[in-house]
Order: sequence, then C-alpha cells, then structure tokens
Amino acid sequence: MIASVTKALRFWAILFLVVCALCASAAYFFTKHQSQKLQRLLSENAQQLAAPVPSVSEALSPLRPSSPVDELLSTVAQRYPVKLHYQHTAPSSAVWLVTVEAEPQQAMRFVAEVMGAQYKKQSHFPETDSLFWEAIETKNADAYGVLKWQFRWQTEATNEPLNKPIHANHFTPVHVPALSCHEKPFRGARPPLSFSQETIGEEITNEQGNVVLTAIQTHPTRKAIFKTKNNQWITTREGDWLGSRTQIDIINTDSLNLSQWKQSGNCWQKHYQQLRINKESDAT
Amino acid sequence: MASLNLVAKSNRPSFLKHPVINLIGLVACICVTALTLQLVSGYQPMLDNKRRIVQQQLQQLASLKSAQQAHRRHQQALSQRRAFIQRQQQNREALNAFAALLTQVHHHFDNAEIKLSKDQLNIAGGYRRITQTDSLKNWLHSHWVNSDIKASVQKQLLPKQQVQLSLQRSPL
Repeated sequence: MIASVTKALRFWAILFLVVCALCASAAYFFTKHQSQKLQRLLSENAQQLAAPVPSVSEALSPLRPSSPVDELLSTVAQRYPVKLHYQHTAPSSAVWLVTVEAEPQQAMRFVAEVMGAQYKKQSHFPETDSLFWEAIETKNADAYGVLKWQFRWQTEATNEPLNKPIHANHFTPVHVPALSCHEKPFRGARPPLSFSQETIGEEITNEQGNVVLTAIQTHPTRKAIFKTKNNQWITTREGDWLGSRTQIDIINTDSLNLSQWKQSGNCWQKHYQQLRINKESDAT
Repeated sequence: MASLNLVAKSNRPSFLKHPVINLIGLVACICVTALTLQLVSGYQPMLDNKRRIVQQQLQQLASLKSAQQAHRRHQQALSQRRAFIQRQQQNREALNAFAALLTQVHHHFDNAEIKLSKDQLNIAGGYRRITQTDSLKNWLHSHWVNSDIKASVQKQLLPKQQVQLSLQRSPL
C-alpha cells in the first residue's frame, strides 16, 4: 500500500514538473522572447531614423529644348558673311560636319555663336570632335579659307566619347537652302501701323478671331475693312501694315494678298498669304 | 456491467489507484497551466504597444528612404548637369584657343593649314624667314603645351620654304 502511494506521488510529481517546465517555456517564448525581439527591432529602427532627413534643395531647372541643328546653323549663318555647307552622317547619328568658307575671324565667330547659343541653357551642345582650317586664297592681304568643324550633338545624358574617328565619306551631304532676301520693305522708320498691336497681323482671320476681315471695296478706291473684337472698324489700303510683320499687298474683289515679313540680319524674307472674305459674314 | 468495471479497475497501474492523489495532481497541473495562460495574456497589451510603435517606425523609415532616394537622384542630376556645363566650358576654351592659334598662324605663315583633333595638332604653312617658324613654335610651347599635351612641339622644315609643326596629345 505504501509503495503504491509513493509510486502515485512520484508519478504526479514528475508530471507536475513536466507541465511546469512546458508552461515556463511557453510563457518565456510568448512574453520575454517576443518582447526582446520587438525591443531589438525598435532600437534598430530608431538607429536608422536617427539619420537626418536629407533636404532636396530647389529642383534643377530643366534645360530648354534645342532647335534642330540645321535650323540653328542656318539662322546663325545669316548673321555672318560665310558660305555654309553641312553634312550629317545619318538621321539617327549625332555627328555633324560643318564647312564654313570665310575669313578666319568670321568663321570662328560663326562657330563661337553656334556654341554660345547652346551654352548652359539648351538641352544640346555641339561638342567639338575636330577642327580643320585650310587657307584657300588671300584677298587684299586678308586671309580666306575653309573651316571644317566636326562635332557631336550631345545631350546632358550622353557621356560616352566617340569610339572611332569619322571620315568624310561617311557623310551624306545636306545643302543649306538658299535664302531669298528682299529689299527692306520700307525706307527709314517703319510706317504707322493700322493696328496698334505689334503682332495683330497674325491674328487676322476671315471668320472668328481678334480681327476679322468683314468687307472689301474695289471702287472707286480699293479698301479692306476689318472689325475688331471690340466692334471697332478699321479701313486699310494696299501697302498698309497690319501689325509689325504683315502688310497688305493686293486687294482683290473677294480676297486679300498679304505679305508676312521676317527679318534675319540684313535679310528680309517674305511669305505670302491669301485671306478670303467669308461670304456668310454680316458684311456681305 | 459490474464485472466489467471490476476487470478495468484491476488492470489500472497501481499508482493511479488513489483518487485523492490523482485529483490533487490533476488540479495542480491545471492551475499551473491556467496561471501561465494568464501571465501570457496579461503581457500581450505591452507587446501590442511595441508592435504599434514598430509599425509607426516602419512608416517613418519608408518616408525617410524615399526622401533619401529623391536626394540621391537630385545629387546625380546635379553632378550630371555640372559635368555637362563643364564639357561646354572646356569646348569654349578649346575653341578660343583654336581662334587664337588661327590668328597667330596667319600672322606668321602663308597658306596655312591647321588640323586639331582629340589627340593631335598639326600646322603646316609657308614661311618667309626661318625666325617666323621659331616664333610660332615658342608661342605654341607657351600656349598649348600643358599637362594634357605632354609632348613638345615638333618642327619640321620642308622644301619650298614649307614648315610643319605638330603636337601629339599623350594618351591619358
């Protein structure tokens, strides 16, 4: 009997100890262990958060989009007494070969102005690859020759240098369109404008716009009558200026021939435009 | 039925034949388990609080990282812009140098020819007096020989009073 009681007590004592051990382990895992884990995470995060938040100073101003190379070259060439010829390897390529025939100073000024036009603010830049000067003749003791300027039309993102030299036979020639320059369309100062605004000539339409062509008179004198948005009537004759760029050339029975003038250096270029009277307008 | 119970009771291990001890043992085990559960559940609010703080920290870290990334991108863009402007500046300087060279060469030589590429400069022309060639060579030495172009100016006199001056840019 005593042996049996002892056995029972021992069994329950062992079982109790096992249960206690299991409970202690579980309690440790779900409390202290979790707490330590979270504490470690907290301190790690706090350490990372201690780093100062970097402030981004004002955003970089974006570079202006560049005009196409051929347009830039032609525009600058109009301001200098140079003969210009340029070549481009392929439409996708960035390499250009520009040949300038002029006095050395004029040729260099031309190149400098092309560079200066792109300097710091434009999205592209002509990065010189090679320069070649050859004197071809001497005019009145002044040197004259050909400057060959090879450059790459580089963007801000382009970093790689040119791998191999470009030979002239890789280029397909592109000729600069000849400019047709007209005489200055007026003598001395500009004649008084029919419209006070400088750019009003571009706003003239035959239907709905700021200035509408409303009527044409052909007898006894030729006149074109415009109506502004403010209901103001303006009568003009052939040769009158509408704004600083537009001139009335000819007044026909149902239309006007206008000249749009553009000045580049000493060169005056002229573009024609015809403006028809709207038959449904209130003046007809 | 009664005979079956008798058989079962007689088959039990001897240490389970004391109901009082069994009861006490069972109650003790249940109590310990209950105490443990109470302890664990009492601890949970504290753990939940820590978890909430960790979540807040993670959100702050995410915004910090995005700020750092924006800062890095800005720095990269800034250095790229600086490099681009520097390249433009160098090009202008090279062009100015070439313009000055062109003036000098025409001052000294007739029918001059100048070739400037990434790695070399060649000048050819006709001279009247030999001193003109020395003068231009000296000018080139003082204006064009720098750390980028280590080699000295090479002068070669050719027939018919022609001269060739060349500079080789050292490979960097």
